[in-house]
Amino acid sequence: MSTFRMWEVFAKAEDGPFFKDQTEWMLKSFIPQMKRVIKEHDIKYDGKSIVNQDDALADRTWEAAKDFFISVGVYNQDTHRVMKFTEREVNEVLYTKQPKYMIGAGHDQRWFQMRSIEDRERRPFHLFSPDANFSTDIHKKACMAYLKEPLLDGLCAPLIEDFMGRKATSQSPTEVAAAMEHAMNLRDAQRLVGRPDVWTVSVGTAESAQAQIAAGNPVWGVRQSHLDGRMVSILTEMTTNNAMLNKSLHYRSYGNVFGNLCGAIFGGHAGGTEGTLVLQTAYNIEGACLYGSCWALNFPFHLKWQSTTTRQLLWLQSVLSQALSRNSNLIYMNNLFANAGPGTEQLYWECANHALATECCGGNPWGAATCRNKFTDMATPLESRFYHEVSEASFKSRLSRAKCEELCQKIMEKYEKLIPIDNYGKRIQEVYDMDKLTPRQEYLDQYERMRDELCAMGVEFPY
Amino acid sequence: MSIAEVRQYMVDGDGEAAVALTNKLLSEGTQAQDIMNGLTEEMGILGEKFENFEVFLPDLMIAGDAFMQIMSVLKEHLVTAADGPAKTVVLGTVKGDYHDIGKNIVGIVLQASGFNVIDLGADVDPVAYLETARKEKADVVGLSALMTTTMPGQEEFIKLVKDAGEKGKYLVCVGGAPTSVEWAERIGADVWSFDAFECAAKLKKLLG
Repeated sequence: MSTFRMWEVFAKAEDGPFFKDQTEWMLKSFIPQMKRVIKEHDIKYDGKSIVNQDDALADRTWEAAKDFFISVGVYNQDTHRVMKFTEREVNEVLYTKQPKYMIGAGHDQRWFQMRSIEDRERRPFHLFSPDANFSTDIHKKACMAYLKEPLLDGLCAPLIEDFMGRKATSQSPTEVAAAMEHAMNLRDAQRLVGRPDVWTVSVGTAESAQAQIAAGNPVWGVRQSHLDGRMVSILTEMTTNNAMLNKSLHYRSYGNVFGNLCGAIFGGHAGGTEGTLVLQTAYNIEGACLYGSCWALNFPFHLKWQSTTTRQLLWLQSVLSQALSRNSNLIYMNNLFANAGPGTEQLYWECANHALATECCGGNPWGAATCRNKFTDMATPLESRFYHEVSEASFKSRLSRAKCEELCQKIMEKYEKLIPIDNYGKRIQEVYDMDKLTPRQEYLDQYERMRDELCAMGVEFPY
Repeated sequence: MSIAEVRQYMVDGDGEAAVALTNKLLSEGTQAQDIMNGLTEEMGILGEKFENFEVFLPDLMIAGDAFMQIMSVLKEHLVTAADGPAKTVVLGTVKGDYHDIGKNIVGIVLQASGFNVIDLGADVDPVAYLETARKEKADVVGLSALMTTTMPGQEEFIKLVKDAGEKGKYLVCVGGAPTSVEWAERIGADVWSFDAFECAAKLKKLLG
């Protein structure tokens, strides 16, 4: 089964085993199978580590994830059937998966590729993304501010909150129009900062398939082929529907280097750290088999805090990355969702820890989302700059997993107790001069102080 | 053979064994109300453990499923409680939104807290909420949204309720990761809560 045999995959939505509702499938298949694979493959977390150094655990995690995916399949909400894949089909997809893509064009052309643990050759791919809504009146400026960042290899632009004074609403004309405006703003912003050919993952404002399709236009909107990326979600948990399959069909026919957006919930259907790890790893296999996606964006997050920077979730991303890097060609990114907001020291510590816990494990940074992803205008390029600089520093100075574990433990002490506190910080308009699109001096000073503190702990920045 | 064993079967998710034992206890004269009190207490303990991340959603789900199986046996033996029949909550994820984990957790916690929960699932049309609320004489309508672009579905329902002249007939409760108390106030919702447990506590307080 090649990844391009999408019609054979779509047929599974009509032919698979029937369960009248998702809860029945969860109780009869998902939950017992998850318990089984955790036990059989001996997946255990000690509750303290942040950066995994056990290769055998990474390999067992991969085997558990594959076993789980083949045993459970994917529940289709529309047809109430489970789309199941045989081991042979999964192996064929994994074997034929491309380990790298050339994306973007001109001086912003880049290799987007899988990396190995403690990789000395392939630098991380720096995808900047606030993953937040921005007010319509500053949307284009915010895109420009992000595009100015020197380390940026790709951008997933902020979402637009409103269209003509009305809140962009899923499956309505306001969503379609907001998605088009988003795409137009992004193209304009790219030209205005001199990066017209940078690869963008577009368009986050479009939740529905019809809005995604409407935003595709080679002149003013989302471009075809390797010039732009798109995303299609795996619904929680191991679930899809026809809207998602429609998106994957459109992306493939449009030729984009598109990804699979997947976030297992810690404390959710998969249970604790071990189950969430197995599920998150399985999502990377699922995206490749079900949607034919070229890469995956991993955001396993905490049920209560909606963040990815707790001890358990950093460890999870670390094992996940190693499991994928050691056992597959699958390209993946690691998504940062911080608890704290712009202008707070806590946010910088969370960014540093996520970058350090993932880069040495073969990861690629995607961020930085702030404030538990809750508020409009509450993200800036400054914390993203810091996040990606730490990731680059980790690569350039060849930090080992052992060294990163030591650093992450020290940094965790600085923010772990603060996680339950709502430390949401400032809006972009307060942190940035929105005319010049540069950080205000007070916040630039704070950024420099945080870099100095990290240097004192042993992180060497390349510049 | 005791209520404690029924509680344990429920926690283990063994609905079949729990139902068999419940039938046996009832035939031997154990009061249905005593069994139900024991089960409610056990679900409360499980809920607290879930809140502290000592147990997880699958544990709640399998226990909740067994709880409902036992309740179907107990129902005919129970006399109406002094504070009246259980309050009814109509629950769903709003139109265009297919994410249902938050809504499912709220449903289980509310059931465990003694509410009668009618779960409409995900991608629910506002009219379906309205019609179900009327038919079931709902005390609460709960609307979940996980996407910023689907949050307006909560506001749309509140407008519909006002237009239908039914505002105040039941509480409208909104929630979901991107929502906030400010959002709930802005759209005129009656209740917003941080999580499922706060939701159950607030509803109990408001409904008496």
